Amino acid sequence: MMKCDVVIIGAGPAGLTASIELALKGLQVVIVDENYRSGGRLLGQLYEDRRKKRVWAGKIIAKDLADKAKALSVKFLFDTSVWKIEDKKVFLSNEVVKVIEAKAILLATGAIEKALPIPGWQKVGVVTVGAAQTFTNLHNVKIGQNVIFVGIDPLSISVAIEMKHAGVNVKGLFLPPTTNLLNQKCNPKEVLESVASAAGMATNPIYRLGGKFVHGAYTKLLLHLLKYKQLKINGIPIYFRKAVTQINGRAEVQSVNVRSLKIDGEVTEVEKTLHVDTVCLSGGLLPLIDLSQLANCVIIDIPELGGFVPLHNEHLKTTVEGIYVAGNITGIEGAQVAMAQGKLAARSILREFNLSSENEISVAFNEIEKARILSPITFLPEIRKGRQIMRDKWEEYLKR
Amino acid sequence: MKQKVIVIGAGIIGTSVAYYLSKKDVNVVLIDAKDIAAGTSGACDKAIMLQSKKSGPTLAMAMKSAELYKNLEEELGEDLEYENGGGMILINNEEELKVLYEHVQKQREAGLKVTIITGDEARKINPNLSPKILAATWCEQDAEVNPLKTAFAYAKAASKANMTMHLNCKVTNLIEVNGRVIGVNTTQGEIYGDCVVLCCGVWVTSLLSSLHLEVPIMPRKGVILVTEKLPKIINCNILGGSYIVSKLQKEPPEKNPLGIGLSMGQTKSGNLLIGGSREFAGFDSSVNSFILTEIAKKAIAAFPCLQHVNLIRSFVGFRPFTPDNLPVIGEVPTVSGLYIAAGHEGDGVALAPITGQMIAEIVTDQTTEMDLTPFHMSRFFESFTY
Amino acid sequence: MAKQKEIHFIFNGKEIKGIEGQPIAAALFNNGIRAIRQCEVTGEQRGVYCGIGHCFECRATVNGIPGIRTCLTLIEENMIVTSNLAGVQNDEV
Repeated sequence: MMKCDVVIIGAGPAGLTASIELALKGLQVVIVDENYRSGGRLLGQLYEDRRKKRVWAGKIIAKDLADKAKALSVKFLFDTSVWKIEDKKVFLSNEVVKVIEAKAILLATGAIEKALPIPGWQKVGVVTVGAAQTFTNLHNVKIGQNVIFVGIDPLSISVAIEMKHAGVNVKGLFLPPTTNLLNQKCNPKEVLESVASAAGMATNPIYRLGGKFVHGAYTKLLLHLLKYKQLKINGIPIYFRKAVTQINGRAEVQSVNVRSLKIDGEVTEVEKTLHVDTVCLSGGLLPLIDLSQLANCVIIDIPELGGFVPLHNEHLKTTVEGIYVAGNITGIEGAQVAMAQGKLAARSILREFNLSSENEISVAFNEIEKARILSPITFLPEIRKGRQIMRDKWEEYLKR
Repeated sequence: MKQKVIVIGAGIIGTSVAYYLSKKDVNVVLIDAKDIAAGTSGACDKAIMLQSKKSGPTLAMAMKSAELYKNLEEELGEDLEYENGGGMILINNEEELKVLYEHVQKQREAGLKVTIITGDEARKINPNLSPKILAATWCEQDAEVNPLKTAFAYAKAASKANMTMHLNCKVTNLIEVNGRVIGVNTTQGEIYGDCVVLCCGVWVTSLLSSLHLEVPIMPRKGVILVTEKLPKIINCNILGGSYIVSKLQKEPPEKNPLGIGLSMGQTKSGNLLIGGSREFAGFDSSVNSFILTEIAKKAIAAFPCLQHVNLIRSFVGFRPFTPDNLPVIGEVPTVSGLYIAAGHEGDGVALAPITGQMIAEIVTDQTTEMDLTPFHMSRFFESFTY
Repeated sequence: MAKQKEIHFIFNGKEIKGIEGQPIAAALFNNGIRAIRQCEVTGEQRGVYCGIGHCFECRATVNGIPGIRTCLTLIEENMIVTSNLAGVQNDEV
């Protein structure tokens, strides 16, 4: 059995940042990740950060963080899954290191993508938008020749633009059909509203359309945009009024069925076939909480944060002694917020070792909101409300 | 006017009771705090195993139940993933062989077609079986079914016969007037009927306690591991011999407090369901690494090809245990209009059809084809004080 | 920029060229191969879906060990990758 001070699960932005903060104070840190390298979701990220007038290249940020962590003697265990956490022991799939015993455990497992199960979604050539992003930007792979996206949101828009830059023929972004399972994503007006409000105003591609719309004329703008059946962002058609109802193909994707949507999201009868070889599904992100469940953390449902999340205090401590959380496991936000949370979680852990002050914790806490304001993409419009609900639920939990 | 019967609990027992009652032209109201098969019936394996039953009333019941299962898919018009593929208990050593030989003799006397086969014969049926397995029992009458699909199909068929269903509706207490149950209070209001059938397994005790009645049904926690989808690894129900042997020899539970044994079935979609454990831990649904490892070790010992197979999840079910390992079926004594069908422990899937039929008979005709005496709740009254 | 090192491996009996540092699934994509295995029950083909190791749809047998996620596993020289795809020749079972 290996022993160390802190085990971090997940070598993404939150886990890497935390490891550096902990190692700087001399703690022995081990990071475990299923992947063969560190970086997590950072690896696929590549977009223009308008406010800072630079390109956000996640791969480079990830490398800088990993280099620093390695220089500080953080130990990495890659290709390793965690299958159980109990009594501050982490059980691994690793053939050499089977169990690590630590004084504290940080869960920085990130998020997975929600399923968008439209008929035919299991076929070869249907991938999630996250996979599309990773294969395009990290592995430099063209995942198809003629590609469409189902699901219109800031992430799918930005991946579509990245793919187009990589030379792929992106034939457009569409909505999924309205079903009982998926109803909140399929009303054209609501989708447009959420896309418009989710991204920060200045960087929002919707607002840059043609440059003829003025900030502030928000409602008018939306109504105006909805009159069009097709909009274009960076030359990519966005169909707020069309839904992909089925994906066809004998073995691999050959075409999709597309139907027009009425303004309330109702699907019309007329069906057209569009020939494509690849479909990217964007159903939104879901905190990956499995390990917190296995560790017996109290889990609560806060839709404003993206669904079920482990209950935690504002310093990222869970209901289980010695187990902390940071990053998308606490709610869906961008990499900048995850990194700020990683730092705060590390300082909370350091507090247990008497290696950080209240002041350092509150500085780290305040940096999260700063990161939130500077984030180029906001995934969930009511994230702040979600964070407040979490604080209230923690208070309730303490009083139980 | 038609009789109106309230059935509490929409697991495989409750939905079966509702179905067989609705076949008798009764107005059924089915109530569940959650959903169909959301409790124990949704957290179990898929075996309809006869040879694991002790000869006596349970085996007799199980054999009748197995007959009902044979035509159930046709009767309900649904695919239940029913498979009459037989089952085997693996024998690891001479000692187990001796004990199981006697067990098999008794079952044969009770009319079950069960034999002892050699290790090589067992490996002919299941080529992936370890060369170390000495012998096995073999019973061609053992079968398998998907309990979730069965419960849903029973509920659907009963609904077609005008059953009303209240899901996400928790029964808070039974309404009793002058020694007679006339209905239930629920989170969705009061519901009245001519009688009430309690089919809520491990959750039955709290409802009975509102009438100051006790039944010694306790949750017995069982862990099951689920593998990734695999090609056909096993061709029938598998049970490890060691657990059955320790049960038959009445070993004190302290010897194996977690009740770790081996049971295996493969679902239609290819996942292996690997059990299991039997532990008294209240309603604590946590799973620890020790139990997971021990169960996995047993599976790998029997089927070495599982060494590198991925487990995708584990789940916990609370099986309704009774001290004499017999279910509680029939009228609840001292209160009229109240019936119970609970306490099947690990036999709920196997015994569901016959239990439903028996309750339907007793509720509508006041008599049953099979003798209900061994299952009557009053059997506990002498040995349990309030 | 330094020339990237070529790596050769076998997928279902066919030699595949990849670049050092690529996961198996990426190398297969670059060689026009998207179908990695088939569903054990329906026989339908399957390929990369989530790309981060969560869905297990891209799994294959790598050097004799089954259930390996090709999206998370780097290619190595002479690696043997096999799967249950119908109509392919596999030396290993």
